[in-house]
Amino acid sequence: MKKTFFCEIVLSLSLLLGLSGSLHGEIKVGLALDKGGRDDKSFNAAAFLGATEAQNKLGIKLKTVESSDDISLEPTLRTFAQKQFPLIIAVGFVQKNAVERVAKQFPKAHFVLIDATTDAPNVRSIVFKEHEGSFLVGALSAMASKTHKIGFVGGMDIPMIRRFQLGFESGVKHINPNATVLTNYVGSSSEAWRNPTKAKELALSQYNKGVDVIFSPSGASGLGVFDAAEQMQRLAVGCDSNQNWVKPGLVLTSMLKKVDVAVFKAIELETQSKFQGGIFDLGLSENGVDYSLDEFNRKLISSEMESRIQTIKSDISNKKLKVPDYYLKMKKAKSF
Amino acid sequence: MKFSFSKKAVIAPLVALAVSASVISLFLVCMGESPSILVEAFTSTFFNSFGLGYTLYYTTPLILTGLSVALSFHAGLFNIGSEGQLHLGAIAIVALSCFFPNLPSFLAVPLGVLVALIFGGIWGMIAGYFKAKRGSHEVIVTILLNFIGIILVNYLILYPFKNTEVQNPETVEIGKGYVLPLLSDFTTLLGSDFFLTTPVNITLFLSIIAAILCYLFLFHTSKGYEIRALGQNPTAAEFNGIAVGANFILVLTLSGALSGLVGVNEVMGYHHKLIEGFSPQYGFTGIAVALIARNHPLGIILSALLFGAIHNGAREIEFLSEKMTKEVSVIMEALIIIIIASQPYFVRLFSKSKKEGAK
Repeated sequence: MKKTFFCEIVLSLSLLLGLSGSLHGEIKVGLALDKGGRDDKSFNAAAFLGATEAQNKLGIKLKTVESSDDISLEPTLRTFAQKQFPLIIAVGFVQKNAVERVAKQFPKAHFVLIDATTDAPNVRSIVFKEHEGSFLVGALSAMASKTHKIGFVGGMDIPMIRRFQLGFESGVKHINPNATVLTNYVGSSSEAWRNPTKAKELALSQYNKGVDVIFSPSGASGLGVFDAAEQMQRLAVGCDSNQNWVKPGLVLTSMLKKVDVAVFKAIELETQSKFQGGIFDLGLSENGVDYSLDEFNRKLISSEMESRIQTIKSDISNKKLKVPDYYLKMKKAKSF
Repeated sequence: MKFSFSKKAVIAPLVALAVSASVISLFLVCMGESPSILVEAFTSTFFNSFGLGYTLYYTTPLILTGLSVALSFHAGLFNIGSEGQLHLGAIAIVALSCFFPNLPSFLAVPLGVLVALIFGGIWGMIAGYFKAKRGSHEVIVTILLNFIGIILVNYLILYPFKNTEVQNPETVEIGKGYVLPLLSDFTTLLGSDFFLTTPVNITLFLSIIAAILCYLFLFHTSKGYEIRALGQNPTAAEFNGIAVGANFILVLTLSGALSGLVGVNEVMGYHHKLIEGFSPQYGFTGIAVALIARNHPLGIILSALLFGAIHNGAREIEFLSEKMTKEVSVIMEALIIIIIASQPYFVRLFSKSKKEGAK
């Protein structure tokens, strides 16, 4: 019969082509990104940058998978483990549960979990002291602001972003106790990480209220804030990755969360067979967070501002200056 | 419409599958990728305990939503509200567990299934009521109820039932008594590691039983006959003494209840909590599942398996290929669905008696 013959041709053709597989000797590294995706120019982009750098310098074989929804995270990690990837990097606190479940079932695989912590011995949990970096950019924003009104557009309303907010606010107040900080959140679900339209609306309304600098830790949504800054010709502050280049001259600085460095280091340790589980909490003194200064924002930051920030930086590192931590505040509130 | 498994009903999907396989191969070649990964994806979807486990896990909710859509189709109604109904069913289980967290299994499991049925059913019944009593079009009502239902459930996940210990948007875990065994629990007892680490659970059997019950209900009871008569010709049915309104309400309630059972698979079977966005549009995929099976309850089991396999295969392809990103795999999924959905056309193309058309 015609149809079955047709089926046979298709099948045999595809079987023939199936023989042309390839083998690789390098270490396979699986990178599972969260909803923001590799092009959020922020958090996920930083992880992707670190991993691609490792691919170029260390000769690993990198496989990146982005998840379209939160429930495909666990199957993704599990498929990596099933396919015997020795190192699997899960980016984003949203993967915490998934990593915990999969790491238990595959004790031989090594996992890296960014932005959340877990006790499993085969997981390297990497968290950052976001409040310290936010304090720096808060201080810089207060120095740059002429209206003494500063904006904050958070992504998803969760304790982690509240931690950014508290650090940022105290940075602003440290420089100018009379400044006001306007705060808005894009949303309370994970859609909030990639809703630039709403972030832009929030930013525009803040600019219209007289705000002249906005800090936006909101993943891919932050791109909307940059659009608003361009439209109003005011300043914005980037987050996670160095975003100074996105709108040169309008991005005052970026709060750097060095996910790229952490990812690169984890891969490097794996290639040297020196993988180490445990919790790594990276702050200013560990060079895990910072602010960015490059040719795109050189003109916006005067040498006076730079020297004041350097003092603050060393004060925080020497523990002379204490930055309030939202997590500690939350814990205290619970124990009372 | 004819509901027997004729020779044509078997050949048409096969032809459609062959066509989609060749179109996808062509697509892969255009992307600069070898079509061999299609075979690899197929193998790891069906002939591998891990892939098969995930395929069957995706099949379970699709059987239920497919049945939900098909049942309404038989009464001439187009239930687009499956997505909202399954959200309601799922949150009902979480709510029950929040009020009675320590129920023993023999009470918790049947009660959990029952509340999922009831709340999904209520959401369907609302649409049935407006259709029967107010003459509103069920398509509009069910679409709007989807918005309300999904947003309501997201609110409940984010506020009243939120797990404040974690940063993810998800509810607290359900009580131990509510947890259903995984299929891997049984295979482990038998000393095998088949299905190990996959989420397929006994809800699969529940959904197959539901399909059989739907078949018996539609084709072997007088109520089923009434519903089918109503679907074929409402005016004639009414003249013959069939209560149109009451049957509309009944059918949409049953459809809603079937969708509500998806919550059993997701909450009691696997996640043990409700995660915001837990359904990758099972309700809407259910429409395609029902259409391809031509609304036959037993055919739906097979077509749900097909869609489950496509869903799993798309992920496999993402892993197998360097160039395939998640966008491309979604395009491929859509291509396959379009080709398969146009299978009546292939029947006409290949069948010798062209006059007969695609029936």
